Amino acid sequence: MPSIKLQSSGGEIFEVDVEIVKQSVTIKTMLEDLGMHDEGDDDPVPLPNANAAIFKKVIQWRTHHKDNPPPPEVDEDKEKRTDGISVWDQEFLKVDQGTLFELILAANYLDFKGLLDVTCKSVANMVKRKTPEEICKTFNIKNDLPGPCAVCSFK
Amino acid sequence: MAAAAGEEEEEEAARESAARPAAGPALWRLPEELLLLICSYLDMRALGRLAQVCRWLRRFTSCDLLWRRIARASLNSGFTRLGTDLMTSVPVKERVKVSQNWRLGRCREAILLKWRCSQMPWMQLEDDSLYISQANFVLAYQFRPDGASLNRRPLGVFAGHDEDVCHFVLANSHIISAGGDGKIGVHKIHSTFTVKYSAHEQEVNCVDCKGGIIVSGSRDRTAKVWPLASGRLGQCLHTIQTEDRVWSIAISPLLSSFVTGTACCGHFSPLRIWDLNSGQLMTHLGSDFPPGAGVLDVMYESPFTLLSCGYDTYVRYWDLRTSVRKCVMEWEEPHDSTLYCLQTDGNHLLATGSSYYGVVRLWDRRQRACLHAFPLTSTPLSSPVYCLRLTTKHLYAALSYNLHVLDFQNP
Repeated sequence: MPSIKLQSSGGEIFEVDVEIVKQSVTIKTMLEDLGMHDEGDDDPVPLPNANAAIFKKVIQWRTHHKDNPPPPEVDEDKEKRTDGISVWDQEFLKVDQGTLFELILAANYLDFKGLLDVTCKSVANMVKRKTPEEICKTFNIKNDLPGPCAVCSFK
Repeated sequence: MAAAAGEEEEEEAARESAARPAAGPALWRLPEELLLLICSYLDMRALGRLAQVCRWLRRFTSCDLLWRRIARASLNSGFTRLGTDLMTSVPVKERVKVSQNWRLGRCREAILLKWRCSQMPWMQLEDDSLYISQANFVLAYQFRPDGASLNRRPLGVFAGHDEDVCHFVLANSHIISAGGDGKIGVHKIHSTFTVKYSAHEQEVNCVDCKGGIIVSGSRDRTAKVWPLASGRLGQCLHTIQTEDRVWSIAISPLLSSFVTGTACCGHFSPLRIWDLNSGQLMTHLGSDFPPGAGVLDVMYESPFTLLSCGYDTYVRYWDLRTSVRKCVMEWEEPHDSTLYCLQTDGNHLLATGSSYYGVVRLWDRRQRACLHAFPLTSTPLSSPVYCLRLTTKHLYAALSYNLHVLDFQNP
């Protein structure tokens, strides 16, 4: 199975199965821009915006999901649901907030839409059904609004 | 990003800190486009609560983009079925707020106009004016900025008929009126120009005007086509023998055909579509015609879709592309009253006026059952609702003695 070498921002090199990363438009573009091919060249592809720890997690997720097709285009008018996150994904995403947000950034940078969707849904689930005070606490945001919290107009 | 209407304090804070608070919450590490993506999974309640977390999130979550999808699924929020925004000057979040009032039936009722003799008024709205027929006149009133009251003195009075005005439409700064005297009147709005001509042998019950063409329908069992051109007013282009009293009429947005709603006293459909250029029958709608099921109001929502209502107490939605024999959907007036008039927001809202107790009903077109009913009169003065008009904030209903307003913006 052909593999490809990827280098994280810290310089660490990962040898990864091409199948796993070929959905990433970013990596694909990098390969084309640098004039590299799947076989042959041994130079690692630099990914300056991905640090090693997060990159490992991304590869772990992609490896588990490698047989899944890319997610379909969303109908702009349909309600976007946040249920349907698989048990494996839920376990995978039991990380601290910092790591979760880094995963979102990495999924966005590497253009892995499936991972981006599931991580964003997770954060949305952290907001849903919480009161404003609970949201402040969860995300460590300071409430700087004047006066007592206004009554929510959307019942 | 459009900001919601905020207090002065917020404006000041906005000027002070254009960016998010720098240090602190890990959430701020995400660029705005990713925060928007996360927020796109939130429903309106969650967005509302997020807006109470801090100043920055209040402004961020009011952005039109986040509310657009919610607005398109809401009632009367100023979006058409195809997603065209009809009110780009009003922030979408505000419109969704008012839309909740329509959904929940929360409104304040008031009377805008009263008159002494019983009438069967017709109405049109244009810009910030309301036009209403009173006996043989059409009066123009100006709305006050709140849209829930009128300046007392009419802006204009359009005379010319010898009997009651039955119906009228506005077209290119003209009022085209249909009278009980069998005449059609053409009045230029911001001038004194008025012309009237004999059109039918009996009452002209309905009229429409589009693309320089006038169509009229009458008790004399004909529909006629006329030019709206100064040299040729009154020169009939076609006379169609409908063989049935014509109660309602509408020209297609494509300007090549028009529909008549007739009294259903013969063995043919009360809804028929005619070619405007030749006057020939193109098709009829429906396949079951119980006698007396006359159609009192009909409108084109788009070139291929129509809404109709009348004596058989149903509103029907027709799609010419799928079938002319059977309507796509129908809604039944639950108290078995004739439906005199209907209006739609072009998306999910339907409003109807019934023949008893001034009942105005609101419907969500995605459901069969009526959402809300507002009886505007009580016995003994039971009155039909002769005409309805609506905006995103108000509903206006004309009954025998009063013009009512339902204010959904300030319930």
